[in-house]
Amino acid sequence: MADTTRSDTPAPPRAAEISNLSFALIISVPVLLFLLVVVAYPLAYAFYLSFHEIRFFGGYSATWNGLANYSKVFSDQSFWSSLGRTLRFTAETVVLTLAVGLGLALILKHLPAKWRWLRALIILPWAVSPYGAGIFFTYLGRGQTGIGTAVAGWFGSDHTLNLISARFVIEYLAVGAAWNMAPLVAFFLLANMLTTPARLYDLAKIDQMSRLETFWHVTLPPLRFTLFVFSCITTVLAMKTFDYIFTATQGGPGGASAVLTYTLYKISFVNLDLGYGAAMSFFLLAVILGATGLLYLLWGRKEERQ
Amino acid sequence: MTGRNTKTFWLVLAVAVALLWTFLPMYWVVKYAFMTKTEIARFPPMLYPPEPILASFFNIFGFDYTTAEGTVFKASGQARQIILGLRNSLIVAAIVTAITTLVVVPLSYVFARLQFPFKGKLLAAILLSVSLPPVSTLIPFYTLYVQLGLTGTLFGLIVVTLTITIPIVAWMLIGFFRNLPPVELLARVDGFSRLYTLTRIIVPMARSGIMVAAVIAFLFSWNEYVYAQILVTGSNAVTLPAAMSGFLFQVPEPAQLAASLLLSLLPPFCIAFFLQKHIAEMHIA
Amino acid sequence: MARIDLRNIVKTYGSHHAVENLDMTIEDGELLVLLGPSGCGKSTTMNMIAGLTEPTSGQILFDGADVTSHSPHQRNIAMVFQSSLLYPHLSAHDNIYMSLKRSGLSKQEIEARIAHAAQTVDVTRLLDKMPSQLSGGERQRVATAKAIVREPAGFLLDEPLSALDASLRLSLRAELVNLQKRIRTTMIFVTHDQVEAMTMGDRIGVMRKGRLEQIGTPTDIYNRPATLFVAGFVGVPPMNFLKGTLEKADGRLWLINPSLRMEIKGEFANAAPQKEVILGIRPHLMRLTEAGASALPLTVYAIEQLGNEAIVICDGPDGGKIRVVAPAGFTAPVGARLDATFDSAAARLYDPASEQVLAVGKKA
Repeated sequence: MADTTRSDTPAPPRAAEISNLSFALIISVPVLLFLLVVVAYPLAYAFYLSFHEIRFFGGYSATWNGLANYSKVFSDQSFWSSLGRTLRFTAETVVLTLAVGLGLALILKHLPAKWRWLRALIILPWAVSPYGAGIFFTYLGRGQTGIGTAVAGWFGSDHTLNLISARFVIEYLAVGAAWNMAPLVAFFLLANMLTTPARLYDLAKIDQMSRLETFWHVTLPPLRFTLFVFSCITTVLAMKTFDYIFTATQGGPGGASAVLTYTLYKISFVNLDLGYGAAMSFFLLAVILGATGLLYLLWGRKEERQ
Repeated sequence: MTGRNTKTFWLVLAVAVALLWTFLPMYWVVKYAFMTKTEIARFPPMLYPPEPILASFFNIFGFDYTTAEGTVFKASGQARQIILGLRNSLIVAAIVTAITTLVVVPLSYVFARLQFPFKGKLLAAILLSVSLPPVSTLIPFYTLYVQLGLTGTLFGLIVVTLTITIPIVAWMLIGFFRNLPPVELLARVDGFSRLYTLTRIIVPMARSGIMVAAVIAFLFSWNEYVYAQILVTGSNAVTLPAAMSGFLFQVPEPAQLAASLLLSLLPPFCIAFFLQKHIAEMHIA
Repeated sequence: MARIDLRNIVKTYGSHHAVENLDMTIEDGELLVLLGPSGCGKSTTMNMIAGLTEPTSGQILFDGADVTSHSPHQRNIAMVFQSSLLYPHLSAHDNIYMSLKRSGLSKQEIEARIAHAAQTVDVTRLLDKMPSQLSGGERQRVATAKAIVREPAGFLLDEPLSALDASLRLSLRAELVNLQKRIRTTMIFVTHDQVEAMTMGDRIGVMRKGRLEQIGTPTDIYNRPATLFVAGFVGVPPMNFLKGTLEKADGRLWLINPSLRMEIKGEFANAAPQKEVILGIRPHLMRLTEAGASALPLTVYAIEQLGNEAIVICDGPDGGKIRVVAPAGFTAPVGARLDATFDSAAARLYDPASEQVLAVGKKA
């Protein structure tokens, strides 16, 4: 059959079109190799460190000590208290960021056309670096210089009102983190809101829904996937935050804001206990992955199915 | 009050609260840049600079400032670091932005638009590296850099910063590319190679997304502090954030800190201000 | 322009068979419509003809030459994609130009061809506009101009009208057929809309689950559907079906089910008695009558007035819906009892197991 159908001129090879796989490999292999070397190497090295005791006194030495670093983490009181602070800070940051983001988005959505330029102002905190946010909130909260004392002064008080107290420093930091991250959430939510058909609001009016019901049944449902994605992003960012807390409170007052990243920093860079620090950093990584995985199981799967 | 007026009233109130929330924390520190040390130390704290002066801006660049009354504000001892930091931050951010964009555009295109084996696993690896806390890779990087002699070099800082920007920007752009219409089909019928399709058709189509990606790379690089603090502080490769922290920790100088912070915020603010329309176009996967 | 042959084409994705053993010939200058529900393999077939997808096995010939391994451009096909896809960042003119960029023609020749193609589909005044500034119909015309400017061997359209509103579709359908006849190109049109298929195709290939069920002229497909699926998929209102058993008694053939015993006339020689069958009859061939022995007892469900006639939708004896065409203005209350008869010689009998036609009443 092939003989009867062969054309006079042989078909040029298909060389003009290369396969998906080879194109993907050509493009991505160099980058992935770079990432592998530059990300995987330190990770592997940290893994190596975590099984050793590293000493600097009397010359550098690394002694194999098996799982000792890992088991030490479990009995380390400061690990558990830092973990508690990290979880508290993360939970509060996520809730505040989403709530403030949603609030800002609702305000931006209702802006009349001639006020639209305000959107460009509301986004600004997003461009502030975490260390910048830390500097802002440390001066804003401190008793000597802060807004609390200034406001107390209006009411004739000459006391200092310190917002950064050992008891509520985590809450205060969560407000600052939400200030930093909420504008981006607001912008994505706003983009989502603008695609919700206006007819749905007409429908809600016909069904005589209250404002709250309208918000709950019309405004919120299309936003749920974005809210889920940002709850994951905010969780990861809050758990790995270091520079913000470093500039804002230095883990203080009195260690009250020493979250896991800060404790890690102290172990590795102040105490120079590199092996132990490396072991603990894998616990932090596990907590981050565990938290996002849990979020996905509890919430994300439900959103995906819709 | 009529219904319409009530509505306007609440909206104005809400906008006022939103603006207060947005600007109060910034204003509280930025006002120091225009105040003197004694004004800053006053109790209770002053709400605004009584006589705004620009002394701090001169001081951080190494100039003395003399007021009309003859008071002299001495140039800062950190001026050299600030000037170096400004220069280095610009260099690092520019190079990181350029490399990230060049590398990530084809990479995320491939991940967003083509089906090939192991794609899911490779994507998961990229996402995993987004969630790596810098604190845990800091020590290995530091020891590696000491051995290679890369501490205190711009090259070393650029390499580390790329490990932050590439995964995060790739992740954002993948979502963006997924939502483009399937013009590859048209391009194949028109006889264009894959490379031509990518560079001459997809890239112009995705201009706004790529622009936002570049801006995000710039912001991450410009704002990077953790690695810089450990790897380049005090060296000739110091960046602006690392240089600035001298005003925060060693000898606190709130006025000069505020002045340099304001300086460091200007580029991100300009970018955010002009690009805010495009930011939400980055569909997230 | 080319004659296109598909020889024993198979396309599998893992264990999924998208297209199975497809043999088909599209004649030079013919307009063939590939019709079927979504997921039937019609788009995969078109993509293989275009060269966008490589078949797992089998051959594709253009004018007898094997092009199975050629790229779309080498095959010189043109294609209009779903929603009349255009490069969103290029003007209409530049979109058309992209078709010829790799053609090696001189700049002048290209401009002349663009001008001619634009004139042919009447988009000359739209050439400077961006796709986002065009209406759905205009986009479709520009996409058509982009396709014909190449003077392609085959012109493939993948549901280009599905996103448009009904009246626009109607006029663009005629426009496309008219264009195809004028430039005498081989055209393949994929759609899931059977009205579109009937009104446009010189021939229609009906596909289902990766198989070609039947290929033939619209009249063929309508009057002689080869399978139960084709019978039910093509035609408005759709064909009526009655389940039953065939029995021979008194030298005559009867269709029997619990609520019906009806004599089957005509040339049903091949139909074996005692066999489960499905009888298919077009609504236009039925009429409402007085109750009678061989009449079909029906209950009115709804009536659709079409102006020139009325369609009475009824619950049939075996639970399925039966549609009967009645004179315009016919009315009856919902739930009313009606009876219908038909000339059984005009019916077709299908095997419920194989779904193939068993016998026909009349040789047409």
